[in-house]
Amino acid sequence: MKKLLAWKNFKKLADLKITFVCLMLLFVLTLWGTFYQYNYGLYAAQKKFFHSWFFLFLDFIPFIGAKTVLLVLFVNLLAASLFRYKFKLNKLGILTIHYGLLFLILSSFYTHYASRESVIVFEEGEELNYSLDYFDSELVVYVEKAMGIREVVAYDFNSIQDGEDFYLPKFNLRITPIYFYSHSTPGNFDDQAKNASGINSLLFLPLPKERESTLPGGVFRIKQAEYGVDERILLWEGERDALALEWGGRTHYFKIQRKHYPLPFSVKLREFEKKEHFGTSIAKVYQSEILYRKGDEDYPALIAMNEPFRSDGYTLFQSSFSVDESGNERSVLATVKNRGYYLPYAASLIISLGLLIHFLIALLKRAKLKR
Amino acid sequence: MKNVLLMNFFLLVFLGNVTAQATAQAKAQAKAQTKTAPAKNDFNLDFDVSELGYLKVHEGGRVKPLDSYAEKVLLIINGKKSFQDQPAINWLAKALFTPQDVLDDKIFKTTFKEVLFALGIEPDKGRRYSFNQLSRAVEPLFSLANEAIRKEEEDRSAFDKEVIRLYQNFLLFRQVLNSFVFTQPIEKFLLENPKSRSLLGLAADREIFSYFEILLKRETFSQKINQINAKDESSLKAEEIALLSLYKDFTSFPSAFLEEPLKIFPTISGGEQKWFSAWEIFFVHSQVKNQNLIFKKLENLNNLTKAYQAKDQAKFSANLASFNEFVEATMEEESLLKGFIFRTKAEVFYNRLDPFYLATIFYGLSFLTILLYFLLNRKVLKTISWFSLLIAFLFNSLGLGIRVIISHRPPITNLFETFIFVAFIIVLLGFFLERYNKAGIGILSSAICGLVLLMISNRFISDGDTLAVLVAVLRSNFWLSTHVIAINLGYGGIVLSGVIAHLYLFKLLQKNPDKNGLKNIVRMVYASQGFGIIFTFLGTMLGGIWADQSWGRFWGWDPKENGALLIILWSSIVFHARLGGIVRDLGFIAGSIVGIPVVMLAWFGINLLGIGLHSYGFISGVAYGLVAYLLGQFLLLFVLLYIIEYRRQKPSTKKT
Repeated sequence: MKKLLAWKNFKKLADLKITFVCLMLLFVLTLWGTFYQYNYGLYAAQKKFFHSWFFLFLDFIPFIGAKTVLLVLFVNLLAASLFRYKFKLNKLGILTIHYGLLFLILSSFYTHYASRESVIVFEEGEELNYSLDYFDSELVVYVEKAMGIREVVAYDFNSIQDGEDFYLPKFNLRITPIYFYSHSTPGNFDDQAKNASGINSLLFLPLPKERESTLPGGVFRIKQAEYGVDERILLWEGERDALALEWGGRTHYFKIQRKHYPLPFSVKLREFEKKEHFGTSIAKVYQSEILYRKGDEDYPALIAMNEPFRSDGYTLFQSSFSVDESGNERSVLATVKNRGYYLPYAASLIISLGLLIHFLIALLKRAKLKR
Repeated sequence: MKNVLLMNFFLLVFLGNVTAQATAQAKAQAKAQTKTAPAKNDFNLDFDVSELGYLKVHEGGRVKPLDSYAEKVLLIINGKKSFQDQPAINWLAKALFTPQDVLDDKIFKTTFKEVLFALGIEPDKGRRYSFNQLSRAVEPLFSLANEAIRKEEEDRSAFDKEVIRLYQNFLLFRQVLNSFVFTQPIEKFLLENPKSRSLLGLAADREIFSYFEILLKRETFSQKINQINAKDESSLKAEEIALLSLYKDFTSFPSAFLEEPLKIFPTISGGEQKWFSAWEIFFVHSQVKNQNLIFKKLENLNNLTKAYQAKDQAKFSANLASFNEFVEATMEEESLLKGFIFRTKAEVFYNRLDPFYLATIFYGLSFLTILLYFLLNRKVLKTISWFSLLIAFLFNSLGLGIRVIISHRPPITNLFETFIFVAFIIVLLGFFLERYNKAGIGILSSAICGLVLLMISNRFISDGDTLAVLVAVLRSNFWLSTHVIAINLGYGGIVLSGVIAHLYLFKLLQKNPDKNGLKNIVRMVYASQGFGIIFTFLGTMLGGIWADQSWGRFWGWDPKENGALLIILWSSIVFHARLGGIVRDLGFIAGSIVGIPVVMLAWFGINLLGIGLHSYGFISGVAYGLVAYLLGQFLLLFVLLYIIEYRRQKPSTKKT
C-alpha cells in the first residue's frame, strides 16, 4: 500500500500544472534577467538569474533560479514521458519534441559544467599555447628558468580572502593581502608599496557592466623566511610589466593577469585581415590565417566569421579584433573547450524532427477531414 | 569626432564663401545670359531628369543609383522621399546644377522649438527651414553642436541630439551642393585682366570662370606659369601676376572638397573597386591612367550642368549616356558587372514604384471594406476587400522580391525588412485561413496587420538606405535565410493569432454570439499560435547553431536570444494551460492576445536596451510608441474581459 502510494506520488510529478508553473517561472526569470542586463550587464544577469539555483531578491527575499526551474522541469518531463505520454502514432511528433526537450535540458547542464570559454589575443607572428579567461584573474609569481621557460605559480584572485594570508610552497612565500579590489584604478595617495610601473596606490571602482574590462589589483605583504624577504608590493592588472624582486640569486616576478589556460597545441597568427566595406567603417570581413602546431604536426588553417576551427575538443572562433594605441592590430579568437558541443545540435535535430512529424501528421489529418 | 567637427566648421566657413560667390555669379550670369533660367523654388518641370537617377554612385559601402541617393538625402534632411511633391531626383538635379535655386528651399525638418529659439529662427508652420536660414545661424549651430558632441552619448539630451542631427544635415546639404561646384563659375577664378584671359585662351567676354574651365586650359596654364617663374619677379607684368595668383588658388582648390560624397568615378585595381568623386579625380588626376578619357568624362559632367541650365534635353541625355557608358564599361572590364545594370534598373524601378506605399494603401482599402462588410453584410464588399488584399499582397511580395534581386541576399537583414516580411507572411496566412473559414476573419485580421506593420516599417527608414551593407557576422546567406526567416515566420504566426483573438472577444460582446463562429475563431487562433511556436522554436534552435558557429556558444542569455525564448515560453504556457484545463477558451484567447506584446518586446523592444551581441540590430527613439502600445493593449484587454465577465454574471444575478 505504501509502495503504491509512493508510486502515485511520483506520478504526480508528471502533472501538467507543474509544467505550467515551471514555464511561468522561466518566463519571469528570462524577462527579469533580460532587463537586469541593462543596468548590470550580461555576466551579472547570467550569474544571478540563469546560472543560479536560488538568489536573493532585494538582498533578502529568496527567489528560485533558472537552474532549479530547469531541473524541476526536467523531472516533470521525465515523469510525464514515463507515466503520462501514451504512445499513439498521431502523437509521435509531440512525443519526439518532448523527448528532444529532455535531451536539450540534459545537454545544457552537461555543456554548462563541462565547457570552458576563454580567449586568445595575439599579433601577427605571435605564437601562443594558452588562452585567457574572459573574467577571472590570478596572481602569479614566476622565475625565468631558461630562455622562454618559466617556473610559475598561480593563485586564483577570487580565492583571496580579506585578512587571510596564503602560502606558495614552491617559493616558500607567504602573501598577506592588505587590501584588494575586483576592479580598481591607480590613485595618488602613496601606499609605500613597491610597484613595477610607479603606481602609488589603488582606488576602488564599482564593477563595470562589461565584466571583461575589470582590472583587479591590491596591495600585498610578501614574506620569504629563508632569505628574510619582507616587502609591501602593489600589483594591478592594468600594468604591462611584472614587478621584479630579487632574492637567493634569482629574480622573482609578480603579476596579476587574466587566468591562463594551457592548450594541448599552439597557434601562430600568420596573417590577420580586416576588410571594411569601401567608403565606410563597417567591417566586411575579418579573418585570421593561423598555423596549428601540435608535436611534429603542423598545418595552416583559416578562421573567419562564421567559420571556426575545431581540434582536440577545442573550437577557435574569429570573434573580434583590437587595435592598440600604436595602431597594431590584434586578432581575438574565442576559444571554447567543449567536448559536448554537438549535444545541443543533436537535441535540435530531434526537436526539429518532432516538429516535422507533427506538421506532417497535421497535414494528413487535414487531408483526411477534407475527404 | 570633435576634430572632424572643427575641421568641418572651417571647411564650412571657407565653402560658405565659395557657394555665396557661386550663387552671386550664377545669378548674374542667369540675368545676363538666359531668359529661361528656372525661377527660385521652381523645378525645371518641362525638363526630364529621370535618366539622371540611373547614374551609379558609391555610397554607404555599395553602388546604388543616384535616384536612391537622392531619396536618402531627402529622407535624412526633409523626413520625406520627395520635395514639393516632386521626386527626389528632380530636387537633387536642381541642387547639383543650379545650387543657387535651392538655398531658400524649406527643406531642413525640425520640430524642436527650443533648438530654433537657440538659433534665433522663427518657428514655421511647415516645420521646415531653408539653408539660408540655417546659414545665418551657423555660428550658434556649430557651437551648440560642438558642445553636444563633447558629451558622452548617454549624457546627451534630446536637445543635444537634435542640434547634432541638424548640424550634420546642414553639412550634408552643403556637401551635395558642392559636388558639382567645379562646373559653376566662381569669384575665386576671377580674371579681370583681359590679357590674362587671352594668355590662357579663355573667353574674352567673361571675367569669372569655373574650376573646370580653367582645368581644361591646364597645359597652357602650366607652360605660362613655367615661363613666368623663369622671369625675374620685378619684371613681371600685371597679367602675369594675376595668372600666378590664379594658379595658386587653382592648385589648392580641390583639396577643400575631398570629403564630397558623390563618388561616381569607378576605378578597378586588382579586382577591387574604388570609387572617387569628381573632386578626388581633380586632386589625383596626374596619377590617373587614361587621363584623356577621364577628362572627357569630366567634360560630360560639366556639360550636364550647362545643358540643365540651358534646358537642352538632347545635350543632357547624350552626355549622361556617355558617362553611364564609361561607368559600365569600367565595371565590365573586370567582370564586376554581373547583373549590375539590371540591379540598378531594378532599384530605380523599386524607388519609383514604391511598392510598399501602394501595398499600404490597398491594405487600408481592404481593411475598410471588410469592416463595412461586417457592418452592412454586403457580399460585394467582402469581394472588394479580398481583391484589395490580394493587390496589396502582390505589391508587398513584389517589393520583397525586387529587394532580394537588388541586394543579392535573403529578404531579412534589418528591422525595416522584418516588418515588410512579417506583413507578407501574415497576409499569406490570412489567405489560408480565409480559404478554410470564409467568414472574412482571415481578411480582416491580415489586412489590419499588413496596414499597421507597413506603417510601422516607415518609422525604420528615416536613416535613408534600407539596403545598406551588412556587418561581417551577418554576411551569411545560409543563416540569414534559415534562422532569421524562421524567427520572423514565428513572429507572424503569434501576432496573427493575437489579432484574431481580439475578434473573438469583440464577437463575445455581441448579444447572441454564434457559438460555432466562436469555436472557429478559437481553431484559427490555435492554428496560428501553433504555426508561430513551431517556427519561433525552429528559428531559435537555428539561431543557437549560428551563435555556436560565430561566437562559440549555443546559448548565452543575450537579450535577443532571451526575446525569442520569451515567445516560446509564453506560447507554451498558453498551450499547456489550455491542455491542462488551467484555462478555458477565453483564457486561451486572452493568453494569445498577450502574445502580441511579448512578440513586440522580443522583436524590437529588447533592441531599445542597446545591450548584447546583436548590437547591429539596435534602434532608438521608438520607446514611447512601444510603451504606449503596451499600455493600450493591456487596457483594452482588461476592459474587454471586464465587460464580458460583467455580462456573464448579470443574468445569473437577475435570476437570484
